[in-house]
Amino acid sequence: MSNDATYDPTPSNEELEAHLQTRNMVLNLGPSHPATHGTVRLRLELDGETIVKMDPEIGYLHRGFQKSCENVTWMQALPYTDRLDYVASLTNNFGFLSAIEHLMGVEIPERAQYIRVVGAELHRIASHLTTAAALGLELGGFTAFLYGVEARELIIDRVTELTGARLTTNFGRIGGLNRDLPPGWAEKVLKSLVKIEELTAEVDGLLTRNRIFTDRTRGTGVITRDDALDFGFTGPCLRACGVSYDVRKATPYWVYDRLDWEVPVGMNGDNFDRYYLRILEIHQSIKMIRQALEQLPEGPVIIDDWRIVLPPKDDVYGTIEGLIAHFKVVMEGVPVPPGELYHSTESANGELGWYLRSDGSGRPYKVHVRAPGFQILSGMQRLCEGRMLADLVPTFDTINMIGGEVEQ
Amino acid sequence: MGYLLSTLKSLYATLRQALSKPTTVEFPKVKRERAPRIRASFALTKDAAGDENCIGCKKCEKVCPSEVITVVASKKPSPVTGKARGYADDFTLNLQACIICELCVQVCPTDAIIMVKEQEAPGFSRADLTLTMDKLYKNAETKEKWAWANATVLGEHQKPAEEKKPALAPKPVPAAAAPTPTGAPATATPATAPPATAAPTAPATAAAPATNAATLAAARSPASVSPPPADEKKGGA
Repeated sequence: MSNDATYDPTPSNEELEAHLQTRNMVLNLGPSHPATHGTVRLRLELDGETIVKMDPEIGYLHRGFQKSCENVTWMQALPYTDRLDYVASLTNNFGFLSAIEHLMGVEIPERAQYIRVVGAELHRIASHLTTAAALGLELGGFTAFLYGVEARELIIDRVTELTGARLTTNFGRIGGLNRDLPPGWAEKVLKSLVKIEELTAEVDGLLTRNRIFTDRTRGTGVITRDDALDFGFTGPCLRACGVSYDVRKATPYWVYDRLDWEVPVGMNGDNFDRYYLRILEIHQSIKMIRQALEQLPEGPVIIDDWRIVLPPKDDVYGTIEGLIAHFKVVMEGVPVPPGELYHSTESANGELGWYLRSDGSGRPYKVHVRAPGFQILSGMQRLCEGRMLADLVPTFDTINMIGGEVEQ
Repeated sequence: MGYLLSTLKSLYATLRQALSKPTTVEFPKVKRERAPRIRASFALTKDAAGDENCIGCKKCEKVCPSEVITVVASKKPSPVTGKARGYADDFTLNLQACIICELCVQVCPTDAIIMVKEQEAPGFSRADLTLTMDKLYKNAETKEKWAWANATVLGEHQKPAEEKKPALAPKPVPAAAAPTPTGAPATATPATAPPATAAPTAPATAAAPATNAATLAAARSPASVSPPPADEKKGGA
């Protein structure tokens, strides 16, 4: 009992302010999580609600695209490219074909170039609509998403009429297109564009000035301009940081230099800028499609060279040259001259680059695809670390990672 | 205040949408009309005399990116004309792995395999999704009205508008005429015959890969080409 005099029941200040010995919690988001676009696993280390470390782990959707291309002819590799960015497959199709045509030194007919612009821009709108409207969904606003999907459905209907498939289009052939526009298609597109503009305005009106939406998106998922450039961001994610880089303007391909359009640029590099930039780009794409359909020239949609394209049926039946050309194109593939090149086009998510190497046989020696999503996903830790868990899902939406193109 | 305004605005949009006509349809009761060119399923055709169009050339098997077509070919006398020609003894198309890229239809030299657009029969077993030869020929009879593409029609789609013919023209070549230029299945012919007959074209394509379109065009036999190569079309618009 000698201690009684010194006993003090109130704890000392040190005790009160001592750091509670806790460990960071590891949380696996995905691989099959409704908020992950495509199958990807995010390994999160959480301190309370703050993300300390984020580790994206890919490989759940790996299909060996690049290796598969080496076992098939150039033409057979085309359907594989549908599955890269499956939300905007026409941009992949045409980008791949454009790279092959550059390697061969083939110039495609003007009409085909215009139709490629129309197709690529249609699918860019579809991709941007999905991303922008789904951001509302991630933040609890389901209404806007339905408007976005309705507009996207219109585009997919038009694409189905043109190509015959909703998502896996496999449209275009080396040297042009496999099909001309169906009769009356251009008018239908113009009609749909009016409706799409209305629906985009709905999405815009519901989200852009919505207080709850702006509170959640402004200042979250921020990346600086320098970091974005270091990580190799392209597309809307880079332009939202204030870098005016668009492959369509920087190195115009097809007929983009003949159209009157602008590159929207953001300032802050946050979720809101990435979202609003997409809305602005939808309007630019609509503008482009209208001009392209107006300027659309008459003429063939594919070059007339039997070493590259299939000969007309009459010649296959009637002439020995036609029969041989048909046989060689089908059995041996299109002879791409030996060489290598890097060619890039602007897909919905950024610069879609193709590094092709040919050894002169009908098959690719190597196909490497620089998918925009890969660089963006690898830079995503910079967008999330030190920030709240609840902002991860909207951030994951605005960078629009597509599992199919990240894993090749 | 801002929150309230935005919420009211959203509620107004929801209300407006609730009172308007729905954009969706209730699927099993109402079926949306499919696009005229939708790629769905396949069929094998016979000619007017009832002879099989397929000559067993295996081009479709070769071109298929997902390798779902298997053709067993043989040469035997035709039951209609009596002449010996190539036939497919067995033709299997596995729809489970088919990516419906239309390449097989496009390359078919005799318009034997065609694309049909209706595919409303999801199977209850794996076997249901394997299109055997019998099923493919049956498809041609039962789903004929949905057929929209064969190789000739796909070729027509590529041509400029003024030359276009109405869709799915009747088959231009009767079965007896098809084998005559080749005399054998197309697989066997070019391997042996052409180097002698078409010396100016074939060796040039095989030996020296040209570097640009101009030389590619020059390497070909000019007689067989009707319109000039694409370079001349630049001036338009």
